[in-house]
Amino acid sequence: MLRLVLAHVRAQPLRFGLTAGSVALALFLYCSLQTVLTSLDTLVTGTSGNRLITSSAVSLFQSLPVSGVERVRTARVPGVRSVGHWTWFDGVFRDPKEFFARFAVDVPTFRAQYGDEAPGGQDYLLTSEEWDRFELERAGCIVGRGLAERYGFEVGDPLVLEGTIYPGTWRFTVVAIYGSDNPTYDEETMFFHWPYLNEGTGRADVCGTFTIDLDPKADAAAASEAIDSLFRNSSNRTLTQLEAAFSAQFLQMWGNIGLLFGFIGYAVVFATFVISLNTMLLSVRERVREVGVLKTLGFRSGTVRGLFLLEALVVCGGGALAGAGLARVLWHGQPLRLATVIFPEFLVTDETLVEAAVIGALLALVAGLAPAVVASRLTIVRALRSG
Amino acid sequence: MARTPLIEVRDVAKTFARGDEEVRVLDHLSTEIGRGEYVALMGPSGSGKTTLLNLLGALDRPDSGAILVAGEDITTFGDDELASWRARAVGFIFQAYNLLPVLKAVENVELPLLLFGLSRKERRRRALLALDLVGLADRVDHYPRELSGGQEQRVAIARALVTDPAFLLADEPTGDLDPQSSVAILDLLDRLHRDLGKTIVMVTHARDAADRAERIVHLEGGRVVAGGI
Repeated sequence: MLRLVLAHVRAQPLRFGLTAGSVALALFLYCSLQTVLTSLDTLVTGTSGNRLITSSAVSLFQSLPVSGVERVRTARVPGVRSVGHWTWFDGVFRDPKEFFARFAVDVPTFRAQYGDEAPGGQDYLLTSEEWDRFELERAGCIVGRGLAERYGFEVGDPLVLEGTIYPGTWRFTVVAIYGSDNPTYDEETMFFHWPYLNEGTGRADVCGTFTIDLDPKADAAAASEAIDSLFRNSSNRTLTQLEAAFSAQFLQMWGNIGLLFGFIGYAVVFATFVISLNTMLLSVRERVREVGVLKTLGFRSGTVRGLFLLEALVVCGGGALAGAGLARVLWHGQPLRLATVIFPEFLVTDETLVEAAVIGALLALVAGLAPAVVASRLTIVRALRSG
Repeated sequence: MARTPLIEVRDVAKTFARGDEEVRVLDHLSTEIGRGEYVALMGPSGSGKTTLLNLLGALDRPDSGAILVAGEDITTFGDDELASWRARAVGFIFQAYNLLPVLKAVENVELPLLLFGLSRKERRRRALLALDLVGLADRVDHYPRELSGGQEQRVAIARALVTDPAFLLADEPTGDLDPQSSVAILDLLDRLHRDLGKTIVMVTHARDAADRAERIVHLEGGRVVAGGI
């Protein structure tokens, strides 16, 4: 049976090739879009459950006074182990299109929370000597391995940024290149000393967010509430939440990306369904006499139906396999930048591939069913009389 | 000596609708065909020859009457039962050959054997044997488009023979062939009848083809007017 199906596919290589190609393209797009969603999800779910982020309650882009860090430290909120801060620098490296994330951080606390002194293990991998060097070098910066590969950075190289939020020319020295085996933390970011930024901006003494490490047994909700209550009556009200919730909020800036990507994915699959259905109907119409011959030879209507369904499965399934496989080969494990979000590892998961296989099979079933039923219902005498 | 009847057609009627009009193609026709007999069906166009052939091969159903093959009334069979019966009992030879263009000669001949649960090797062995029998052992890997009309018809005959059916039904088997190829095909049918004892029912307009048969049944207006039993 399969040989007969393959013989037909071989006899019409262009038609079946184009149909399989359209299915492949649709499933490739579907897998790619799905992978963006999976990766966005990983950014949220891969974060630490023991870490809180405090940002301005007014807006994510509103600065906080860095004095707040000390206020939290001295308040002795139960469960709080350390308090640090991050500040988004923005700026331009060579060209505005050459984007990568740049943060000014409180290096000693950054090391305690994400480095070799972190109780939960390192998120940014450097040796102790490298961390020491980073702490000592005031104009030093560390860059991810991905950035180093992209721009050819080596330890000791100068790195110059033109400020945008913070005007001026900012000169740094690469003191170390970090790696990361946590897919949530990319290898495409630059970190440098907040005091260096603060001095260069006339000691504004502001930062973007506070990063708070909690004891694993701490009550995160109570800690968040206690921290926010410290600033409730000030002009800098805060919103403290788990790192995962913070990341999710950040991603919401993209709007309902899930719905949009889902809609595009399914629209493409639907368009492919129409193409496949048309191909299969054409195939039946041109083979009415063949159907008559098969039935004359003793093939049952159900077998004829199965034959056309198998044909649809070969074409759509083959296309789906090619599309999903291509997405896996092209994307899997590769870093990807989308606007300001960097996916450390763009993961085409097994679940996505299974979804693609199911879609391919459903596509075949739906596109093949109508033609298969048409073929199986043809009467022999009428089918044999057809041109 | 009278032969045991293989096929008994009893009071069979068949009507077709042509627009608003109903045309009675077979008018309570009865006849018999003996086991191992070679019968030609002749008659003017519209006399019911092909319709009778289709009913004998269970490609269509009569409005009334019975068709017994080896004692079994095939008009009582369900669709699937009828399909299995056709695969087992009948070999069809068409005027237009009706080979599948995407399959090679040997694959075309193997096609009906797919329904018999044979191994791939056994299917191939039988198909090659059938092609050898019709003199096409050297054309097994040719596609129909690479064969002459006469060769295509011989492949079709091999396909009809390969399941060793109880009888062969041939509908104008030489209708599309040149005289030389026609003679070769008729010689082949003669040989199948004479050497292998095959029962053959052939519809033909050609007198010289009909003369090859042991008996000629003449139809007119849906009835047997001569040669029936």
